Amino acid sequence: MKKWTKKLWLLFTAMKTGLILLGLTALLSGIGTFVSEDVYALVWLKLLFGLLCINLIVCSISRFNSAVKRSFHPQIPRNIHAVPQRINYSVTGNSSELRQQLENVLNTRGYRLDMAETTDGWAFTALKHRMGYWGSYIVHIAFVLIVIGVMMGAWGFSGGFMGLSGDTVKFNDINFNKGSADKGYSVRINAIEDRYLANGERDNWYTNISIIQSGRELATGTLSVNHPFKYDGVYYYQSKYADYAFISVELDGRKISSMIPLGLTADASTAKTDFHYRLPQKIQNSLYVKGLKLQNRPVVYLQVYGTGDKDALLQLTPGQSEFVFNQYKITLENLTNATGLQVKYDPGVPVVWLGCGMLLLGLILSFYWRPLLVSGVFLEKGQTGTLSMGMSMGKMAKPNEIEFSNILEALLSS
Amino acid sequence: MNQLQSLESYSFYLTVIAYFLAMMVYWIRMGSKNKAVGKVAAVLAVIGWAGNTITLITRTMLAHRLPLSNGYEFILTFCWATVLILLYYEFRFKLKALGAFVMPVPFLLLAFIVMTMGANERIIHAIPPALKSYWLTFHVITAIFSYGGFAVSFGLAIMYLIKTQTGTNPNVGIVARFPEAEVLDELCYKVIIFAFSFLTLVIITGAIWANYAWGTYWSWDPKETWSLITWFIYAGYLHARLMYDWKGKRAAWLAVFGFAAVLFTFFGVNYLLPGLHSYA
Repeated sequence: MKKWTKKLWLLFTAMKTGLILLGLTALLSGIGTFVSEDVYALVWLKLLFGLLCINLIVCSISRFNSAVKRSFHPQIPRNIHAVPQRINYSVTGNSSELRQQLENVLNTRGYRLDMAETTDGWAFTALKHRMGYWGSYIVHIAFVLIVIGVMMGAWGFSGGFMGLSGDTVKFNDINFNKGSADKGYSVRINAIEDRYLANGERDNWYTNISIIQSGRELATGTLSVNHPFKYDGVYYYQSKYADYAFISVELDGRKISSMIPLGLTADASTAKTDFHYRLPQKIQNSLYVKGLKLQNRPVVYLQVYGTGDKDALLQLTPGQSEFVFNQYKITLENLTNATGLQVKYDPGVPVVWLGCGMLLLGLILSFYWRPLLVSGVFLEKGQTGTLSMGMSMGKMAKPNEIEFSNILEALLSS
Repeated sequence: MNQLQSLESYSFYLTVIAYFLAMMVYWIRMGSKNKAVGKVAAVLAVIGWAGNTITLITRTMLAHRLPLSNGYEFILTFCWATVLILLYYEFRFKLKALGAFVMPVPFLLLAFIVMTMGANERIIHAIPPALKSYWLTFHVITAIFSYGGFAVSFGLAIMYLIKTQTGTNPNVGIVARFPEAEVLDELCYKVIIFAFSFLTLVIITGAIWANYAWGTYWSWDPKETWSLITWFIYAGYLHARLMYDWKGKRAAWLAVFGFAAVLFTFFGVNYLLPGLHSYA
């Protein structure tokens, strides 16, 4: 059992495992974009993310001690062989003078210096930007935090509804496609507006709502796209907007009323093309209609279909009537609009944002706060001696070489 | 207004021509020992970038907003960022050959506009309510610098692979003028660090914005998914580079593969996989 545990531990601490899991997750995610969104609900993808998180957690645990050691207790070299060799230089001089100069130069450049006496001299290690060692650690924990935040979303709920101005919807009657909720209040739609700017461009869709309980207004506010309304931890988003026409069809003294959804059209010339994208709605036996509203104007175009190949195009304003096929009197009674609101509560969102913030912090520390480690050994020979010092290569040799030359230049000129 | 529109149009075509000529002269420079040829290439790239800048400024003035809201505008700003990053690395690190491998990217993107985008796609349209947010600016600007950086890293990776090709003497011919393989590898890593940081910001700002606009920070939309796949690929690159036997050639191939994912995130998703994120 212990052998298996050790094998499993080694497997999950291996960077190769992480790379393979990253690759598989990327592959499966890519397949989902071609095949179907259902791929993302598959157990396999969730399992992959779970394994990736385990890999990240295990890697973080296994590397914790070494991160602490490197950042807070960097090892002072005991002999010349422990000094970095690739970026290296030797200086000969007086022990106390050299030591003082070295201390001055390194302290001025922001290094934390640790010195120790050895049997034949002294040695040092100097570290700058030590928090950089924690960068990748924080990135890994951040990713796990994000996944935890996503999982916490399962405790929330999400749904939506369409409503006309004046409608009041009980919160518990809202159609939730995920989770469920039990709230004792209702949502009243006070006003809906499709607002246009002076230059004719659409500004936004606005919905003014109130939260009502036992006849009392608990809160009120206006929401629009990109500007949700929040109450009781629940967010209300402007997700849809639709224009509707109330029309009546009169035949032989009988009147039938219908509500027709309307598309938008820029002007009369584009209406013909825009009708292609509309689905006909049955308003009476053998009578179908498609509707368009002129952008930013209370003008409606109706394409009416009768039996056979008969069709007619009407342009109406509210209150106007026209006859079609010498039989039917069609009246545009009124125009109205409906708003579509998405209702959502997700307790995991703050955790996801925390994870994102930590991810950015970790990347900054990892990439832009690279630890710089200089160490050296001074071997005494009577009054003088030789200081052999070097700098660790890190992830990028060139910038470290430049930093080391700057230190040397300052040391030799002081 | 008409003057501004004409200026936008002229500066766009100046950009296309200058980028094309810069690309050709960079290629000539690869085979020529004449240093003046390299200077001409750089000057042409700067002229093209200036034209690109004027195009973006005039479009901003005409639209009364930054040009970040559709495919045409995004390609223009992507090219602008790519050439800016290229010129920075060329002058800072004296990489005269880099332009030969990076310049084709902005030129081909602009050629794509000329050949496939009709006038309707280039006309300034009102932006829909979903795009009326400050997050649009953060999200798209981080994207152009991210993609631009990856384009430059792609060029560096190609140079590395050519330099270290088996059987090629790295000290003879065109390849001799490339920097040392180790330098190319390290520069590629540096650029990817820059671009990866911005890609992370792209994904995060996109998630925040989506949460405000649609109530969900992640919906497995093809654009979101392929951005994440690209992020995974470059995360893999950054890890792989730490493994001894993955430094160098394998890492360079990952960088090339990563840029293919970047191109698919833009072109493939836009033209093959429509979704909610159908703006650019």
